[in-house]
Amino acid sequence: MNHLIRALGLVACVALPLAAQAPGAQRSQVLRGRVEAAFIEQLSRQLALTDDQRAVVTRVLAANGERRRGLESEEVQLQHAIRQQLRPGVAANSDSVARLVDRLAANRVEYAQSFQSEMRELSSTLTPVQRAQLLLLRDQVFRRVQELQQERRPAGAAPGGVRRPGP
Amino acid sequence: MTVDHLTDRIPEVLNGGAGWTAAEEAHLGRCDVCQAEWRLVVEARNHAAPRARVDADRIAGAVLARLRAEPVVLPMAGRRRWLRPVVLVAAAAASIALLVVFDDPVPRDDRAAVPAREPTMLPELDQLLESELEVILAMFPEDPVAAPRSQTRLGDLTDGELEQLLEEMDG
Repeated sequence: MNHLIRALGLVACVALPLAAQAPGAQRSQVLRGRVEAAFIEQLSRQLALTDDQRAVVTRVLAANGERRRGLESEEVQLQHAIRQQLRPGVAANSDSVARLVDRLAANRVEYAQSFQSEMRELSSTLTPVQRAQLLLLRDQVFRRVQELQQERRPAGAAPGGVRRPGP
Repeated sequence: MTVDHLTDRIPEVLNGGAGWTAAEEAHLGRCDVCQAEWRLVVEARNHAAPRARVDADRIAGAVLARLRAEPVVLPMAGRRRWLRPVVLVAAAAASIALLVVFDDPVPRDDRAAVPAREPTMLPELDQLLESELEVILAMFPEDPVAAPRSQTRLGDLTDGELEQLLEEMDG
């Protein structure tokens, strides 16, 4: 009986996390990786980056990208918390709402500032022309992302909680 | 001699471990408080239920005798050894069953079901569906040679390439 219990425990430890990771999520992850690789490749060609420049650009973009990802995640949580406070028929706590709104506003400012600090960090590595090319190429991607999200949304539907890409 | 002293001595004397001293006897003979206390305690003991006595030696002897009588059985030994492979096979089957149950062949939504953990340069991609990611991927030509030739100008061609082009057009 002890062996059976141990075996079932092992099954739960190994199989459940594997099963929880949906194959769709894995494929999306792979595709995102391919898009990012293609993006940096295109960037390297278009800006004629040296290996050193490419390494710096990758590091700076990744650091700020992670920062924005964290801010996006926080924004989703803040919006959820605000919606909870503003439920019909339930009295909102003014102090809590004020704190949430302040944090949401600060979050959005910080998001925009991430693009500014990114350019500042790259100014010692890239020429102004290269930085402009980077901005334009990324704007193209952001615009396309935005278009795709709008196409997905049913006509007349309000924009969701997803932050618009780009500064 | 005080009432407190004598009251403290009452349990010792009552349990038979000690006797009264001459001074204590004298005090008890003339002190109403101590006499009342003594009578109360004696009466209480006489009406109390007999205390259960624990015979530790007898219990220990019985336990030892029983342990000696019953042989120790090792788990899963001998006749139950065949159970082990059965348990392993059952565990493997349970693993597969779990994977099959959770691995839904019909994706309800091909958007990432778990948050992306890989570091990213473009977190904006996190919100896209697989088909949309493929659209974005198509924005970047994989091979620069495969880029549209319409961007090539005649002035960029060498003399040899121009001659080849003329030959192709002529013929």
